[in-house]
Amino acid sequence: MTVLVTGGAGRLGYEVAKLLAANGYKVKAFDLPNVEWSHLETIQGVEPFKGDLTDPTSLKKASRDAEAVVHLAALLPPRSEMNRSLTLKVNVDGTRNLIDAINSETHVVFASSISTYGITSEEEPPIKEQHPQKAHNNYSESKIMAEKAIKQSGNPYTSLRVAPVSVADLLELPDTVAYKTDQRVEFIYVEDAAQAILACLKEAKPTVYNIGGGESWQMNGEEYLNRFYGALGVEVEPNYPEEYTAVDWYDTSRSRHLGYQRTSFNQFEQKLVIVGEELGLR
Amino acid sequence: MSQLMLEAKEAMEKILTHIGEGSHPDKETLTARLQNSVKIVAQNQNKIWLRTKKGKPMAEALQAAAMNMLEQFEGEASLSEISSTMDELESQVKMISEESRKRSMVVT
Repeated sequence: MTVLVTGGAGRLGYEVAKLLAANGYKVKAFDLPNVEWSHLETIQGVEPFKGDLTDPTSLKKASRDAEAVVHLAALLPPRSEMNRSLTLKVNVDGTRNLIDAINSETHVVFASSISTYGITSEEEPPIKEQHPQKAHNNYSESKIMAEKAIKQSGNPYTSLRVAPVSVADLLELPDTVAYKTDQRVEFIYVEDAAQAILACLKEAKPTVYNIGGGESWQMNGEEYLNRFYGALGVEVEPNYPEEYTAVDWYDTSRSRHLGYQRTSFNQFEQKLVIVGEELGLR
Repeated sequence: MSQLMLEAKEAMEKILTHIGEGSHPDKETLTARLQNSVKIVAQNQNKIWLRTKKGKPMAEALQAAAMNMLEQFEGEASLSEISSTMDELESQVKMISEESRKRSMVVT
């Protein structure tokens, strides 16, 4: 089966492409020409395709023989918050272009976001899929609109409201962290998010799932950062925001049968310890 | 903060002073290029990854290029020598900036 993976050169896209190829899928990794492609070149079964979601012609070419689509490409924060019209053009119009380019039988697995629930810190956790969606920034607005476009297309679809993705690598702190010290946060390990996508391709059932790391990943913002950088062996002085943001704990009981929650936070910390040692930080 | 990055920035600021006081034929272009590099170095000087096994050699290479360029300005270097060192310095700055971009934390 040939699968088109938009955003295929990104952090999650790379993991998805690698996992699908390892599971016998033919992968077309679609991404912008000017992004880093070298890490994909060594993966057998992955064909790079340089294009642009805002260019219907390139999408038509890329999706010609695709029997399923994993749609990950999007303009992300902080860039999405600098330009609303560009964010809607890429994330919403780009999604519509993709739907127009594929045939009506093609299954679409769409990476939406938990940020579509808005700021939920005053509510009782965990947040379920039935929770109303409420845009609080350009990015969440665009993801809500893109979800609707996919649902209305009539194509078989799975919309995944994915928690923020963690990678076991040294990441720089932004000027202001994206959550408060006492805010409930739940992330997901990047390889587990890729496993969820693979399982959805096999399942091909029109639905919406929360995709998060699970109970071991549910903590507050300060604990997450302390454990993340503590495992790497780095002392940091983060600046936390004054307002709550759109990260919370999520009810993943509906998606758990997909078998993707394979990495506990303790196991993730152990990966970070190894990274810290390799980088000479420990 | 990376001491090497700080030293590189200080050397680049001294070069800017030299250029400002002198009558270098490429004065405006060099000033603009150096100012841009100083800005990027300032944005990156506190990055954690510069403390790693990969980051330290990159900071060292930048500091060496900046010190080399400062020596050239304080000596009798030719225009082509200075231009070549400027290219090297910009190349080091670009690599540091790119690595920082790759390591940025995105929370969606």
